[in-house]
Amino acid sequence: MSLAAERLGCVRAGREVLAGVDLEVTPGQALCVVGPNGAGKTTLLRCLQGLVRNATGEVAVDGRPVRGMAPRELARHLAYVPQSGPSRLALTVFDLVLAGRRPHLGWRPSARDLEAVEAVLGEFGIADLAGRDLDELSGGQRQKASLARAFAQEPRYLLLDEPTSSLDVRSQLEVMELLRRALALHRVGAVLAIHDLNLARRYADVALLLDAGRPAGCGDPCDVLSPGPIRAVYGVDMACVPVNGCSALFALGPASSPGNENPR
Amino acid sequence: MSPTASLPRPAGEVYRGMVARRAGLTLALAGLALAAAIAALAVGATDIGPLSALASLAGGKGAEGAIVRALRLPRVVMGGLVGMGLAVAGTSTQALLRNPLASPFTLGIASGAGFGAVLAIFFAGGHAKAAVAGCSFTLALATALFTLAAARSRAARPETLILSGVAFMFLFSALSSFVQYVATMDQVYEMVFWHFGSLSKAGWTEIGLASLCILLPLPWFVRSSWDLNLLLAGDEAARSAGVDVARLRFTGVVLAALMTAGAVCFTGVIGFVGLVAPHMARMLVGSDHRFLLPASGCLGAALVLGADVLGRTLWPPQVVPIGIMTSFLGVPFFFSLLRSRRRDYW
Repeated sequence: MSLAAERLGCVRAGREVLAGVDLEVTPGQALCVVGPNGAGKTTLLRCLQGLVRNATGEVAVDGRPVRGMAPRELARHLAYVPQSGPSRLALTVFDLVLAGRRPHLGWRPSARDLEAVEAVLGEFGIADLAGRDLDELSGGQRQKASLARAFAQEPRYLLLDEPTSSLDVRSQLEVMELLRRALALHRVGAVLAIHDLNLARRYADVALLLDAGRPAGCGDPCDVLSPGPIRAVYGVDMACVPVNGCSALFALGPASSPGNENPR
Repeated sequence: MSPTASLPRPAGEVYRGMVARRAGLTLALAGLALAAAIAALAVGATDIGPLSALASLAGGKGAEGAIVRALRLPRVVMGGLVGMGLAVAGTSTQALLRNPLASPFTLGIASGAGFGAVLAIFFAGGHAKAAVAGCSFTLALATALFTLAAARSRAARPETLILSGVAFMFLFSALSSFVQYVATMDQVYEMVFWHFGSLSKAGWTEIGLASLCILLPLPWFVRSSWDLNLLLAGDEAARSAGVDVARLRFTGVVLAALMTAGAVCFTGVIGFVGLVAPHMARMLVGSDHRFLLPASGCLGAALVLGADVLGRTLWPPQVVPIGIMTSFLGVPFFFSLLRSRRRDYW
């Protein structure tokens, strides 16, 4: 059982924006897709949902091809968390999360739907925000609500586009901790597009490094996201600094600029 | 990190409270629409008490019965129908295009309808009521379809739809102006008068046709309430929750256009309702379309009927055209609600 993609590719306006990407996520696992702006992270997420019409390659959820699956059927397998949650809306947190139950929902939500929403709100620590409108919330709270909506959908796999961008450091950590816990608890696999290399090293089981649409490394996050590959893909010199028994990346400077030829 | 001091109410209970409140408010708005309808039956050049107005509906004799049944009832039914139709079409268009400024008229429908009416008046004259209504209906719907077709390459993008709607709006306005430029004085008078909006053109045939256009799409919108809610969370999120976004948007816009065309072709442009009733309803009951759609429909009906009552009582026996009166009544009401909110609600 897995979400698996083989030889994913996509050509847009004569340019290869994605080529030869393979990946596999099993339930409970988190795979981080990392790469510079425009490397194809968002396109990859769209391909995984079968949204890119001229995409090549195969995507399968638990052995069934995504292509040709009815939207409602696909929704029971895959949920997507957009980059920044809805903001300027008089939609309450409970309404948003309940709407995530749509694949299971009749016109009138059942007691089971309400319980599911209540449970997932509690899990993400936002039960006390249930009646608040989304536009009243902080970025971190909104992101948690957005995650709660995706989990209320009860998917097998989750696709997240930059779940921590525009969050403060505390919210980033909270969101990632909550996400990992929920992935383990519900046995849900996740593909995350993410910019923060250290968050990826810390929270991912697998990292996929993209360079102009092509895979530049896939495997253990601490190997893939190490100074060598990062320098090759981003053109940035990195130092790997030991911290409390693990290690963190520290950016030294653009690799091309003179004076950085010999870091330190 | 969980709050320990005072145990908060469980989220499900909070939600049940919200639902009860929304249902209550929606019922109250339905009551308001009903009250406006009764007032519109009772009030006018001849004042008939609300009770005797209702009694004459049931079959009262004499002048009062004739006035209520033959003159006022069609007017009231048409007013309620048109107000509801425009409001529901506006509410769903705002959600479908995820834009607070959207209304069916954003898609160029009003200018299409206006151009149709102007053309019919130019070629057939203002007395040819069927031609005016038919022509304006056809062009209103055609404009919406043009807009959709022009944006079709990216039909899923709301901004493209709005932009192409605005472009068609300018095109049809210019065409209307051109026809007015070459028309005779009498024709121009008829054209301008059509634009003011009027409920007095309504007979039972027109009401029958309008209610076909306005009532038939309603079940689809009610059934799509959850999809509209999800659309507010963004196209991608909605799609991944199982909503066929492109199809929902296309069908929804076509049905909203049908409702709008059915409303404006018989009454002229009562534009403001479609933009403002949805916002007022949203401020009151929130964005859950299961409640928002009926609430906004009731509010739209109440607004048009209330405007009609005022329009007929301000300078009797003169009747201020309904399009003008609706804006006069709606704008202050809208601003008072807008100011009473602590913050943005969209």
